[in-house]
Amino acid sequence: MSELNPNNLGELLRAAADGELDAAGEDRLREHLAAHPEDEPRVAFERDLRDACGRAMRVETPAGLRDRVVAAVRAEEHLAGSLETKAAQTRSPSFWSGPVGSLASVAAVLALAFVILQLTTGILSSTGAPAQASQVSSFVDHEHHLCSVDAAHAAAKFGIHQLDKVPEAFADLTGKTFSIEHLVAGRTCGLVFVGAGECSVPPIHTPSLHLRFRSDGSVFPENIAVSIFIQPYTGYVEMEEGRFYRLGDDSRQIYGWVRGGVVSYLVADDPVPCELLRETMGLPEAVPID
Amino acid sequence: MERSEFERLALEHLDAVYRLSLHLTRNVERAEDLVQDVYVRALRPAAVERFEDRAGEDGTGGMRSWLFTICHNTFYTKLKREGRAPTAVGEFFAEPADGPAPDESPPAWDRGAFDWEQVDQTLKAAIAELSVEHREVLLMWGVDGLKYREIAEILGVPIGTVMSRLHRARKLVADALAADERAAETFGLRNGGES
Repeated sequence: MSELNPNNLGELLRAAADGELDAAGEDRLREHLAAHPEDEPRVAFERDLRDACGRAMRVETPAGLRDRVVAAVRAEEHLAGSLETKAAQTRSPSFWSGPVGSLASVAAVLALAFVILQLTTGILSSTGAPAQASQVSSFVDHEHHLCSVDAAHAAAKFGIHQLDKVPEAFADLTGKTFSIEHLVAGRTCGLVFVGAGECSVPPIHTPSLHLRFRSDGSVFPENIAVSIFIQPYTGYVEMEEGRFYRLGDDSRQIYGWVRGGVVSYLVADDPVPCELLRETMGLPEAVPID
Repeated sequence: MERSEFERLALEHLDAVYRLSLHLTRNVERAEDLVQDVYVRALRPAAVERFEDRAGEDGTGGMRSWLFTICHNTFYTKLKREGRAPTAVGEFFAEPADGPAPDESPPAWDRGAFDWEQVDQTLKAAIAELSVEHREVLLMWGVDGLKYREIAEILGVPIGTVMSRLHRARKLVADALAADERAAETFGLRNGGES
């Protein structure tokens, strides 16, 4: 190979062992070995070392890894497909002439009016908090339901299967401490830990974990799903420590709170576990986010 | 090429991608996460399109190298995002990475009396001590049989850097073998390698 230093004997011998010599290198090697036959074993040694390193570095691939990878790829396709379907729907003219489209048009006009009012009068809050709360609540709601309907997505996502591994995983991911004390207490509320895994709760570039629970039927009906998303608190959705906020409307059980520099978002299929968890954590009644 | 066929061919390299991931992360759980990330990224339509453009019509040559590139980049991007340095970066990186390899010949050991099968444990321990950059190069060279140029392309470094890292890695591993008293006694290992 042309990168070889013509004066570097070691490089020549190693490249010979690695099969990296070009014609000129082969000629040099032949000349050298003719004059120094004692160097033959050195080339052979390098070949043996390579084989031995190869053997020593082989590892067994875990049995379920292929299935896990395929499930993750399918979940990604599914998510991309559903987003594309929604985008395609909104691109279609018939969407805007239908009842949903009409409502969306009205909502868009109202949103625009809201922004203009905010910019021109300054009488409304300038933090943009409601929009951010809405973005976060939509995201966590979607992820919570996706994990209910798409088992492959859930299986691929929830790689942590023990609740007591969550603080370590969260610390690895974010450098922050997270206590599972209240979640352990939540077990007495009839909740069973299903798993946890990385998630992308807004804002972007702030890592988060999605923790999943289900009811065991002892306190409220069986198989009600509960999700808790945890993330270092950045103030993206402004909250005060010690308060319990409702982020969703009456039909969606979405709540948020901040504790020890970590924000948690709770999503459940039913209001009962939310109430029980709130009480377990000693938090006051929920107030709307503003 | 059909997407399902492309996926099947990519999954043929699962063992190699897992091996690289494990040697990078040194943790089974993290390695599995990394492999999953690699395949999710690699099988996105835009990524497949880029690979096919590069490889040409029906070409799947270089798929393993392509997956290794994604694996390497994903690992280091994640590391950077987490604000962590690679584990056990060796002192060798204090010198210019693409500097020439020292002119040291391979050691003149008594090969005839050397039982390679028996030294695997010593080798494993020596390899585990290497920095992540050395281990990565050693793996691609030793197990996957990649050429210097292929490794350089995967890592995005000059070919001289690959040769230099590989030389360091081999030397550290060979020195560890020579320093192993049991290996020296049992296998008649004697280092006469001043050259």
